[in-house]
Amino acid sequence: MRKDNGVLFDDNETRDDLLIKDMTPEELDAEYERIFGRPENDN
Amino acid sequence: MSRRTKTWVEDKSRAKRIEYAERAPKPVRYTSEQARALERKLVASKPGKYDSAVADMDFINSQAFADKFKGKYENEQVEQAVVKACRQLVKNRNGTFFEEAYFIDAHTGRTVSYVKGKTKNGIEMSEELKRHLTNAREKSIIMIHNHPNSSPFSRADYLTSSNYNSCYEAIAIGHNGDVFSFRNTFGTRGDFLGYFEENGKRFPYYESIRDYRVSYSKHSSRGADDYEARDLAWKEVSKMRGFIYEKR
Repeated sequence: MRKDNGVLFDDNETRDDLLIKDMTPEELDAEYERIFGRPENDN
Repeated sequence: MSRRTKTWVEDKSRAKRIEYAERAPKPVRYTSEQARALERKLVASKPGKYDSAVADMDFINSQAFADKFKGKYENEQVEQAVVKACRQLVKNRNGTFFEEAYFIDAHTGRTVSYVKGKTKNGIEMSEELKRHLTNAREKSIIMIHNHPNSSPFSRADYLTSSNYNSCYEAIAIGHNGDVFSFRNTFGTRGDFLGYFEENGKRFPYYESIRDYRVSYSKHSSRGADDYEARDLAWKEVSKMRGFIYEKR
């Protein structure tokens, strides 16, 4: 198994690796807003 | 017995050199069309063949590509070294899913290290190189590696660049000629939230990585494709966490 201590370049990640699947769209919106604020083009 | 003078020895060695030069195969001058055909043949025979990683060498060898780096470094010597390294990486790995990396001194342009990746889309560094990066002066190293699929940075790229105070800049060069740059990432990871298992891989989870995934998921849900979502997510995370992300 490859080391995972952050000292390598590993570009094998896929869309599937990055998408958060354990949140509902509403929860994702709330989390996004908590971190980044309200998106500019949101009503 | 005759004395062999210095002149006699020099003449003899000159004659040998001339004889060798006459026997050696002469360099062939190809037309650009012939050279391209030869390169295509070479690329097709490489191990790790990956059709969508065939590089746009015409653009990468152009002045427009070199202009992406203009005025971004301490001096022209470093700028030229970075452009040369980018071109060399893509040329070496053209048409394959392999990656390699150059580590360049940010003040002199000298190559500090060069690493060939042995696995698909990844590079591992030796313990010696990690030690060197840990001990090198602050912001003194430029890390450059190629992205065969021309995608923006991965999480591992961010974690690698943010791991070393010596990293002046991390560059990913896409085979299509896109250039991605991280600067000032050291100390921007945020709190360590534990390890995260996904698709059989174990991954360190920091606040910055969580933010990146939240932003990526948000943009994906609005219809952005993988490339756009990564690009937008790094833009937002860099703004939030105070480092520089640039797509050139």
